[in-house]
Amino acid sequence: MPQVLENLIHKMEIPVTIGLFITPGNLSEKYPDNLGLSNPDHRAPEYDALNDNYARFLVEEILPEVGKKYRLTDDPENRVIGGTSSGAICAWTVAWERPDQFRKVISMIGSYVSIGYQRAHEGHPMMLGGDMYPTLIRRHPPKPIRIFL
Amino acid sequence: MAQTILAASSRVTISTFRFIPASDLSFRYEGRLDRAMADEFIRRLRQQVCMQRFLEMGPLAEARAQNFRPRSATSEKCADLFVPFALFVAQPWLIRATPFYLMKMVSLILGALLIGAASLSAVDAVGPQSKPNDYPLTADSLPQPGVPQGRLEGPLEFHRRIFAGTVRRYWIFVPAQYRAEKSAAVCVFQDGQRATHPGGHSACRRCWKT
Repeated sequence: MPQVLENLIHKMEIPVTIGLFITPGNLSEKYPDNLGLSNPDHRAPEYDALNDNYARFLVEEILPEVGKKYRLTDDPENRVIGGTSSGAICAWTVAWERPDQFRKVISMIGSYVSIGYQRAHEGHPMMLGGDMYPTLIRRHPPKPIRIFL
Repeated sequence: MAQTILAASSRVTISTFRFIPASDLSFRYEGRLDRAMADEFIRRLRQQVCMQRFLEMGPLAEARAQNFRPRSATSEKCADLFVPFALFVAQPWLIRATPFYLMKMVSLILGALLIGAASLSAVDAVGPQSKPNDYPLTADSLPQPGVPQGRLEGPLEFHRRIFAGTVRRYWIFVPAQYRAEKSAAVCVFQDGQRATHPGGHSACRRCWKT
């Protein structure tokens, strides 16, 4: 990804863009060194859930942190979010929940399936899975999001 | 998208596709339609429409009450009118007696041929070049001479409260063209450990789970 950004910025096909590449969370004090390229253990609850937790994590926590060091635009048209597989549905969910923050999505082999579905159980309401997006999208007024699928 | 109702010679079957507005339903009927079949036909359509309303309204109303938009009066009406309308059009004597039936059959056959031809040519176009697990990187993914190099900061570690008890790593790519005076566009990408890998995702296929 950084290489692609570098080339496309040089060709002026995209604006000068800061890239932020984030791993899913891992339930530990320190990120395990032996994980390498594989998945940390908190990926599914963050990426596959149809709620605004990940969007809030980005908007309220990590972007302000990066923003202390680099000047980032607050124009949602110039903020893109992307991912692959569960990372892709996660990216879409962020834009879906917060189109005021992100209006462009890169979605590669997105997991628009019911991984995040959970039945209602004591004290917890039902959680929708990504298979519900066709219906959710149809039922809402259009949102100003562009997605590359 | 259309919902197709296929009538076999002995009974009516309805292929289901759950989330379609009732007003988008269309159907094709072939064969005889006697009284018992007509009743079954109506029963299944009603069931279908009810099921669809249940699926669309129940869980969604529960989960997203604040954003929920009720069905419009028009689409309600379409759903209610659909059953008598379908039955009316499905009368075999009416279908067979009109040129409309012939036109419909001709357009169905032509449509099928067109779709077949299109899918065949699509297979031809993709076939010879693409092999399983073969995803060569294009020039945009490789270092190019004369392109100023940005820098990648990280991995940095991050703890916060929204996902309590978790830690994650992140990297910041700062392009050579970045100037502190001018705010930069932002690209956030998930699975950062793989997204920053120079070989791309195809270099770490075995680490894929979902």
